[in-house]
Amino acid sequence: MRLLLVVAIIIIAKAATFAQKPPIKFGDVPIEEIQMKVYEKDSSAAAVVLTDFGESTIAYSQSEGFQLIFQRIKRVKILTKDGLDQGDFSIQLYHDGDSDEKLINLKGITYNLENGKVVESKLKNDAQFKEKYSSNLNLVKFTMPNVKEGSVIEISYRVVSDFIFNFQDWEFQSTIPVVWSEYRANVPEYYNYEKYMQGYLPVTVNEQSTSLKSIVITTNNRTDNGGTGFSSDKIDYMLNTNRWVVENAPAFKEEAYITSYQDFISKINFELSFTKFPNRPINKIMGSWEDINKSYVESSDFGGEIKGNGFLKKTADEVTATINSPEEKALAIHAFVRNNFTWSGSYRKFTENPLRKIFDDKKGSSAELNLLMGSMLEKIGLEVYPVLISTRNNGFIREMTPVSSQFNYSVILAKIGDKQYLLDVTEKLLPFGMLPERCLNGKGFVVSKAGHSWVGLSAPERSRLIYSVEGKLTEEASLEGKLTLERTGYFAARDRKQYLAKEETEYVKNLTDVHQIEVLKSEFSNANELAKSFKEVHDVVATDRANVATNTIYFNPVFFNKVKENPFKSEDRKYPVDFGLSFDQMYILKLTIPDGYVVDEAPQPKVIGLPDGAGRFTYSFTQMGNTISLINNLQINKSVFNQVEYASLREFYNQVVAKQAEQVVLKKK
Amino acid sequence: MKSSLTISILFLSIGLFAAENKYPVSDIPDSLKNGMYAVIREESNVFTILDKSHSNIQYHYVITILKATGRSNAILSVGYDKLTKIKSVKATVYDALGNVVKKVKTSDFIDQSSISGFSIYEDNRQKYIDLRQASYPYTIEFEYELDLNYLLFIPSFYLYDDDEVSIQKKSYQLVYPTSLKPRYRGTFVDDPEKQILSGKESLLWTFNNFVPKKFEAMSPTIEKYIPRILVAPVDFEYDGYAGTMNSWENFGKWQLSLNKGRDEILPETIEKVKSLTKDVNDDREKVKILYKYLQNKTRYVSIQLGIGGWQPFEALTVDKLSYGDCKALSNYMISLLKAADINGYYTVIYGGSNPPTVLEDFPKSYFNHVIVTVPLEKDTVWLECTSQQNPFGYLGNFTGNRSAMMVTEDGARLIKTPVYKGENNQQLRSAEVILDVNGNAQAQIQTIYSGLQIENDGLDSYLTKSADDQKKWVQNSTAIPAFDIVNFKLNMLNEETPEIGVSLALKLNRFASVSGKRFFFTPNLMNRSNFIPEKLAERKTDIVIKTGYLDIDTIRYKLPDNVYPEFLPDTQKHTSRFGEYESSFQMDENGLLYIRKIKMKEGEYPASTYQELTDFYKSLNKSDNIKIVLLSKT
Repeated sequence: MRLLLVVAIIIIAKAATFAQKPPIKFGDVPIEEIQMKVYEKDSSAAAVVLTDFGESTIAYSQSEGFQLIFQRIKRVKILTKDGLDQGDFSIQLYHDGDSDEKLINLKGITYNLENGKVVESKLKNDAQFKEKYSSNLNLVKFTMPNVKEGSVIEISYRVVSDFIFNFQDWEFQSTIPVVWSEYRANVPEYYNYEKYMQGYLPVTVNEQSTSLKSIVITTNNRTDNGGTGFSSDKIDYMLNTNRWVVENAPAFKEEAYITSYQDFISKINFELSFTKFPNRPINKIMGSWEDINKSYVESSDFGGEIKGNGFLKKTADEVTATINSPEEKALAIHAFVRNNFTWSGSYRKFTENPLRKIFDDKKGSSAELNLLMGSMLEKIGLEVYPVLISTRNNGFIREMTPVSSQFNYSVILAKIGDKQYLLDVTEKLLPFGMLPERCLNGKGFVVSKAGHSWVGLSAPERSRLIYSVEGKLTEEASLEGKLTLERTGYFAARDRKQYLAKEETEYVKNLTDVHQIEVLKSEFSNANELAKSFKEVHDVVATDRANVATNTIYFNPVFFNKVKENPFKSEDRKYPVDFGLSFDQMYILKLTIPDGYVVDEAPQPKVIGLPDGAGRFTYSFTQMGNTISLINNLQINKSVFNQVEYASLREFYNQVVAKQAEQVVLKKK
Repeated sequence: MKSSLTISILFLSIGLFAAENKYPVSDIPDSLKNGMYAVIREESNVFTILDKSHSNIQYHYVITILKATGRSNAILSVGYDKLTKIKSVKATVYDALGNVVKKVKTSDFIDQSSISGFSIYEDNRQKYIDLRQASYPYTIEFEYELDLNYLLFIPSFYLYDDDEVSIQKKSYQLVYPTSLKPRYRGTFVDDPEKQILSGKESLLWTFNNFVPKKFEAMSPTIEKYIPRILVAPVDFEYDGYAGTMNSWENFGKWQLSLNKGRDEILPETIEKVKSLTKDVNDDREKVKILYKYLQNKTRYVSIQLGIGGWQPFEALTVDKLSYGDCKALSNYMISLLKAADINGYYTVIYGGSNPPTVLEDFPKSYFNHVIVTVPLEKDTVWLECTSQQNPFGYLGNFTGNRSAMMVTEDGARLIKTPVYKGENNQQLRSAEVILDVNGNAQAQIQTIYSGLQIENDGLDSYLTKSADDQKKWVQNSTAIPAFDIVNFKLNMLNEETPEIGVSLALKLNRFASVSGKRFFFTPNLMNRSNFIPEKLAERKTDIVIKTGYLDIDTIRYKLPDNVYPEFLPDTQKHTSRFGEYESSFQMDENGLLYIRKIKMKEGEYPASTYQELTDFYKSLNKSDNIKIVLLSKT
């Protein structure tokens, strides 16, 4: 019976071995690839990856123990001059303490066809350069020799690493097309990784197999009779092998209005979940969201910061001394930290310095400032929770995969009465309860003693921008009157930033230049009252706002904030459009027409809608005596539109542009 | 007794003040604060020549940052490399009253590679620290000392930091052994204060209470009105290469010594050159063939190691590896030319759109790039060797119209690179637009860009790009509010002129807005000017129009049946010293013909003509935006 089992395992192992013939052999380039002139599936490609093969193996050696070995062979075809920079490579090597990842066996060959003959140029050692990139990363850079149109480049290398947690992720897609991308992972049963696939491309091969391997450990021990003897132990283990292939991946192209290319590229990610060695308990590295919550709720660089730091109580009490309502207190503390501390610009989810030091330096990362604020709120008895999030440029959160490395930033959730607020103090011009735009990305992970939960990170309210004009049009084609701009939400924050950065005169001058108007008098309100709408009123004169012909005046009544051209120029779209926020842009006109003229023709009222109420544009025109009124409102009611919705979004904007271009015709009585 | 106590308290407090408070903001006169985001309290730079191959820099800088706009001044950095050692660096932050908020030691600075997006290989590194504070104003003090293991450059001095940074006190000092007296050239500055100390001399310039002029758009480069001092050594040595810089000839000899023995190429390459050129008689044609060979064989990789800033690596290396930086590729090109018995010269130049003025009688390095000059019997050919797509002989905005140092067999001399004048920079467009009754249209558009206009939105760099990228260029550079691309083509029509053609077929949905019985559209299809010079109370600096050009748009509109213009605008004509503009609207049996012609002249014009310039643009903008109104007869 036992014999049978062994046979069975051997057979499996054999089968796996057969399947595991590498798809590429270094130095063995078919002549067709060197002769290839164009990549048929994408004739516009500047270069194409013919084969990219990677294999990560956790292997045992007696001297080093378990190590992670990553091996890669990549072959690239250069098709046009624009593809020449595919001959430049950069390999990241991680290091920490005494230990560093080592690059070994780096080889490279460029193949060119010269007079019908294949000429090889080898990468020389002196063409490799090491650069210190950051405190934990070095780069090895090299440039392949003799790269020209038509070249085939081949490189091969290994990285040997002690950092078992740093299992290489694999990108199946690139900025150029990839014909065959294959990745294999060989992991002993002792290590368990959570793997998740992302992207829009189908996986051609997804295989899994197991084989029996063994470790032989030799120990020498002194024998009783004075000589030295060897004993060896053989330990058997199962090796889990995975193999993924993506065939014919198209080039990844950046598009406007996307969060991060990391969200959309086809890729497999690895995260060390747990280790289980014989005769030892399971060591959970990652497991469930419950586990993550548990490990962070008390951790000294995260949850612990809220409860701890008793020294903050004094300041928290001082700042809120004369205030009674909890809500007002929270507002005061938020404003205190926001106004007195500077954000270093670093996105962090955990603190790296003691909050005492941050308090003294008055400067820190996003995590340090937000947790400090959170801790102060806790000191005055409010219910606060730290929240882990992923910023827009870091990509969205995959709730299916309980992996904390998805997060890169933290904010605070405060519950006051029956209301809850998401708080961040890194931006001086954002009021209480509004997260910076970079944080509006899916959901946040709320860490709490009572168990974790998720909170939506959408804007608390829609952002509005209103341009209104009240005035008259003269027979000389001038517009004279009052221009009022009013905005809330993120529009207010953006404009406050502009306004407060410069002298008021500079700001007004910029306004006159942008709109080509003359400003006689200006009044600003609520520039520093962040909770209110930011408003400005100008007395303006704008010349040449109409075409005047004999007895006829034509003009476009949308004098300001017109959508002049469609922001979506491309006919198709591969990835979702992400505006980041929902908004209203309104334009209101009340205009007296010149004496002696009547409206001969006017734009028809119109409503343009997007399916499911995702967006709406209204245009209404009315006339009363010699006064005409126009209201138009562009509403975008959700922040993300998927690819299927793209065509309608583009057409929606086409119609908005056309409608806003319409003219009013006045005729002399 | 009582009075003496008061006195001692007074003394005590003065003592405290003197010890603790440096640079209080209250010491800044209001005249230096108005409209400024920062004030340089003190800035001194002492450059010491120790001997022919060693020098030293002592730098001290104190700046008060008044508001958030100036906060980037609180990020401090100092660069170093193999030949430059940082002897010491420190910084201090003071609050508005002048109390010390923070002191920073050498070890607190962060060490990193200098921005290396452009350069693959370099050994330039920097130490930096971010001292931005939450509330304003505050003051930053920054000091460092550098030991330079060479003498080559001596920093220039400009009495200018930014438009909104005033200067309370600034000084520049040169210290040198009498035998190594550097040369200097000051503009808008007084003579320096001179000191002589045992075999050494010192020159010191000091400036107090300076409020900068506001930068005005379209103005001459700041060197035309900012006080500055240029300094250069006579005898110098860099990494074992000694030279003399007192004449272009001598400076050229030094460059020759760096290039010496680096021109050898493989025998088979020489053979290749000979076979490529053997049936060609015209030298210019030979140069073209070899330039194409270079463009096909090599590519540009930036390499900045050690003396790499000045010395090309061997031609043989380029021959073997097929890549190099501007120096190596130019040097290699010269070797290729030599194999065909043509002389090409290594030419050191400033690459960039705002070149400094090279003073003929003050030789020094004004440069950062290398090209090749090939003087031929009839004309001179210029070769930019770092680009695989640059048209043969073309030097555009990057290297055209400036002085450069051409290194010859026996030294060097200054030469002037070619200028593309107005009439050479054309954009000629003809289009046919077929309009239907619903206001939709189909357009066929041909445009020929020539001279510097081939660089419009980077057009010249798109010829070798993929169709997808080219389409992006079309999408971004077609100034029509909404369109769909039916098809398009970009191609080089003539490398010599140079000339690039772009053909487009577009679908223009809702091109004309239709309301009731009227159609409206702007006949200027896609070349509308909306530029207006910024409004100024008083223009202070002269006006510079850097590039002249000629644009002609001929647009033919085929109109739907039974539709006619309600009125036809008059021909628009505007003439000024800056240029001429004309647009006309004509109806014939084929429909509406719109022709627009604008010719701008490059040149420098007095500040007093600013209003004229504004009026010219205003009137042509207005003409460009004229709408046609069509009435339906039915």
